[in-house]
Amino acid sequence: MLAAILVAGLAQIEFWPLTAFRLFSSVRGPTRITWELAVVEVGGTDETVVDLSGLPPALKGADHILPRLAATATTTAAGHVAATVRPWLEATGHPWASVSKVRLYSVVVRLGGHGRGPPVPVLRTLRAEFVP
Amino acid sequence: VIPTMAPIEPGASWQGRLAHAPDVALRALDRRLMAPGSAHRLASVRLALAAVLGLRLALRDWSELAHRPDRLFRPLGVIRLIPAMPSGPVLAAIRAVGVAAALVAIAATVAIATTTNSRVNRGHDAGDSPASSALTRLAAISMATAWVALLVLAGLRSSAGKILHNDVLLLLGSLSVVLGPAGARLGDFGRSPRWGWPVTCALAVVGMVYGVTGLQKLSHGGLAWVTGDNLRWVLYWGANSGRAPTSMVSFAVADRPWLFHAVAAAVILIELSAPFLLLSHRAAAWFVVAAAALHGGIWLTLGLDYWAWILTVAAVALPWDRWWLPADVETSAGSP
Repeated sequence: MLAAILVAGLAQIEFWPLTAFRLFSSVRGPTRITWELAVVEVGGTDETVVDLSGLPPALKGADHILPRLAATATTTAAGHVAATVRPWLEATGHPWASVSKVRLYSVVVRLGGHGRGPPVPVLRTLRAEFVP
Repeated sequence: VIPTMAPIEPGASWQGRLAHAPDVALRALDRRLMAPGSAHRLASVRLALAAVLGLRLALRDWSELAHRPDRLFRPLGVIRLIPAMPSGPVLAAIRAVGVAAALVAIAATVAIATTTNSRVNRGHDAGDSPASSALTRLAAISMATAWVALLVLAGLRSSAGKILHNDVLLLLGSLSVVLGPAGARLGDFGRSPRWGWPVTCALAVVGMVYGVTGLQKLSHGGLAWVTGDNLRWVLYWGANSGRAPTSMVSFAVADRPWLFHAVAAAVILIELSAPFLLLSHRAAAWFVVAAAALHGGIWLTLGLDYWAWILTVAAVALPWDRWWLPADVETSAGSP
């Protein structure tokens, strides 16, 4: 058991319940990258950012899944991407039939007020777009 | 047990001693892990860990995980054996079985002591009776059932692409006690490696987890984790996350360079010293205070809830065996 914990840490293994225990191990700074889903409604042109902050526990995980989705969106079938984001859209009041486009953005945010203020976006990059 | 190696000769060169160093260290660790301990201590730790397992299972509504869509079900490790997220009633049933098993494990461990005590009072030998053998099997099976229930439910909760660490320390730290002998009797102060290794291994595992966590900070962040502005920004992000109960503490520390550097150094010191403190008889209980301060501070500043880690450290490191001795339990073979 002791050796397994040590090896998992050294080899960065994440094999439940073994983990590498990388708890706050990366150095933090005033900026970080967050991820956004945005939708364009059928017949419209305006984009609406999906608020993923209030999702129930069963739908948590967007922070970890969206970056992987962005990395593979060009090589992954659109149906797979759509099936992945669909529960989030429907849980946030965007029925699937009403959506004409889904966009995935990475957003660099910086804490305002020398750290005391809320984060503000400084760079928003479109990473993937697909039609349901 | 590590096989006995040829002893180092008194006049051996430094090269010879260096070559033997890993063997010497392993043998010292083996001696420490297999050191004798009392059955009373093991039974006390079993009771404490069963209570923590039961609490973790009881205090969360695991059935809400059933609403996770298949596309968002991304299991890791042993949970990959489960093909899809179970239904709400199945999750509720696992929880109920786990909580009941933890309660049975507590009851069986207490009953082993009282049954044996009753036999001794009637003039019988304190050795195995059919009743105590059955209770021992019941204690072993129920403790393992509670552990597996938490392994599955917490694993399912972690099946969203990233391991959630809240229950990991409890699962890893209690494994040696779950697998160890279940017949340990409260009030039996006779010392043996048979009763000693599960608790010592639990302490070593908990210490190793904290140690690896500290090493990861130094490995990935380097000394800048302490000497740079890292913790300052961790605290500012925490204050702005909306999860912490107050932002006052985060700001109070983050605004003072001397203070956030000191806190960062203290965090690393606590984590790296854990393997040594927990394997020291005198210092182990003090580590509970350090862990409570560490995780209490994390909750206060970042809003991350790690109370299961505090209780796990307390369960394995506090001297429950000295504090708790039921009046009707017969003591034997020495004193606490």
